[in-house]
Amino acid sequence: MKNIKHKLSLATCSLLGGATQQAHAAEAVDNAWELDSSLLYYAEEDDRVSVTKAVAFLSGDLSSNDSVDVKLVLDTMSGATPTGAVQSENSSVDSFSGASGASLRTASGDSVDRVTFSDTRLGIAISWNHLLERLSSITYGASLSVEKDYQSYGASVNYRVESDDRQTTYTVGLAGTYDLIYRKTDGTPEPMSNVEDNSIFSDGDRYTYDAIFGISKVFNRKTVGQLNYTISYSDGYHTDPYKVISQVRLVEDTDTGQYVWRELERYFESRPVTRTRQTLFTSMAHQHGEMGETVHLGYRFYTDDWGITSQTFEMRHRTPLSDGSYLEPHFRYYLQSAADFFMHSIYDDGVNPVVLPEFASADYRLDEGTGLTLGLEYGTSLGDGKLRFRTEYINWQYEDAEYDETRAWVMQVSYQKQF
Amino acid sequence: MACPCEILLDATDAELLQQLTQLAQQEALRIEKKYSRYRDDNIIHRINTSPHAPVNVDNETSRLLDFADQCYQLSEGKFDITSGVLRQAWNFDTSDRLPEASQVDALLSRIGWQKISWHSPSIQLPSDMEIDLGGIGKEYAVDSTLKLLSSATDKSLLVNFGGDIACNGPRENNIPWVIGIDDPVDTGQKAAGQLKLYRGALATSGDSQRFLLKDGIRYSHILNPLTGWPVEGAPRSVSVIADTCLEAGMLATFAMLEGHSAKDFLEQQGVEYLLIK
Repeated sequence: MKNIKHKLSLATCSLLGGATQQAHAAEAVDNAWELDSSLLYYAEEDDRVSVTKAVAFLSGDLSSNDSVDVKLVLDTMSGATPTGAVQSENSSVDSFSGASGASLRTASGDSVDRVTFSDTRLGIAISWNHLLERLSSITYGASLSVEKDYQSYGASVNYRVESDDRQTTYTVGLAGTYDLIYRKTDGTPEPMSNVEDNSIFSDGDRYTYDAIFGISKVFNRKTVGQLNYTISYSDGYHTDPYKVISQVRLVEDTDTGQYVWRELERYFESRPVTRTRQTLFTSMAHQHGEMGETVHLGYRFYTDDWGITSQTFEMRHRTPLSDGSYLEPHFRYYLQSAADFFMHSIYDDGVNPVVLPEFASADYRLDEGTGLTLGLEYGTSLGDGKLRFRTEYINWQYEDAEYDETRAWVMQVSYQKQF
Repeated sequence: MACPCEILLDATDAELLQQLTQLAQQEALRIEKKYSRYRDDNIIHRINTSPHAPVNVDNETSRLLDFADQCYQLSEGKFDITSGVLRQAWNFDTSDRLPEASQVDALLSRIGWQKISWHSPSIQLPSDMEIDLGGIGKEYAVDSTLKLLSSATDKSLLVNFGGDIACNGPRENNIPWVIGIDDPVDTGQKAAGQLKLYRGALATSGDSQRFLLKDGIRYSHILNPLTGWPVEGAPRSVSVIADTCLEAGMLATFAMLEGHSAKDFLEQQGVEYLLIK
């Protein structure tokens, strides 16, 4: 004879979960649609990148078996980002001609180590969820993202099945993305070509294929967990058309007599044409305490065949306040190793001729580094919707990159409402 | 709910008691109104009178149907909210009038939760079938009322709807609530035993006044929806203590449905119980 008490407890718990709210709520909310809109502002210190992101997310039921989600994103980005070149006071390369020069020149003053940009991205993603049977469903997704120098088209399909007791959910998904990459004014530069040669090819393109396997489980009435594995393979143009790498030599400064690094040449960076990425993500939410305090713990392990391995540790803790609002501090720590072909610059010993590597990038995002995020979210009800405020401070430290620190602030306000 | 409902409050605050009683009454009436199968103005009536048509239900009803679905799975089909049509054949008036086998067999085709299309929030019944949340409703009302009252006071209190009981903790000074269990042989007159309740809930499933007696065989009102006939060897009464009244009630009902194996079932669940043969 089976012990069913545990499962019965869980079933009871999900039934009683919202019982009293229901007691006061109006009857029969059929086919509720939900709109979640938010406005996010991201700003890096030292006049680097700033992004304003507006998101509208609409979800609702089309029929008893079908639901649809539509997400619209509008980003406006501007500022200056490091190109990978050494900082300008050490450079003897002081001007660039041609199409590349238009964007490589000048961030602030006469510096050529940062590239200014401003762009607008419009993204739209639609997904359709269809219930196949009592315990299984399939979701089809399509997405499109367009900006001045980038286009992305994606499609995905996800199959989800729950165990008979609905305590365990398995997910299998496949996704494909096609990206088109170019520079605003022209195509993509030839990798490892000298910037002065200005050899520009046509657009770069890239295909990415992802497979996702997930399992989520209700352990007991207060604890749920999930485990996801994603493998992703991409083939095509991975190089960043705006990033460059400097060739440097140690030279004697004629004024001071000291040896300093001097940039002699500058090349467009070059990255491999394929990349295989694997991610293992696990998270757990546990409710504890008298007031329904909830702790979220997350861990992500990432590795790819460019030599990057990263780990992310994340924790959030939600404390409900007496008036139905809540406070949720957020902590995240991220660390990664450098890509095999990351280098601060190409070294010229002044004796032997420089042999350019096949792959090289001075992009700080491929460097070894750590990131720390501290954040706080406050949520409350406003009218019959929910209002959330979130702020985050992010600090990245890089090991070898020319710009070895990025500090950024995030501010977000969201409003969610059913109608 | 056709049963005596009481609220016990371990305090001497008459105003609070009155306020809580009023809240409890509102909640009990709300649930009864919404889910009683005897009304023609509620969601149950709408579902039962819309054969072959999907009916969209609200969140609360959706959770109740999900729960009923779980109970159906966990009891391997023995707890079935579509089995109410068997009442057309069985009338447990303590007489010896058993239905004809053919009459029962004819009803079996109209029973079976698996024949119902339930994809939250939409339910669709075949013709001639109906659902009845009576087997869950009272326990649900107890838990729901307790939850509501507990949000209004932190004093010790107990909700009792016709023997289905839940409390929010022990009485003052950690004294348990002592619950007498009705003796099915001498119902309403004496207690067959008592259970101490420090926390959680207690529910009783029994047939004290609802059975048939023919040729010395007692037919319990606990019907097996798979056969259409009363479960053989079911105890007279099973009381179970669990975290919530729903859980206690379902465990007591499932135990009854196990018939002769009721005791084994309860032992296996590791719960505190009182079983009367």
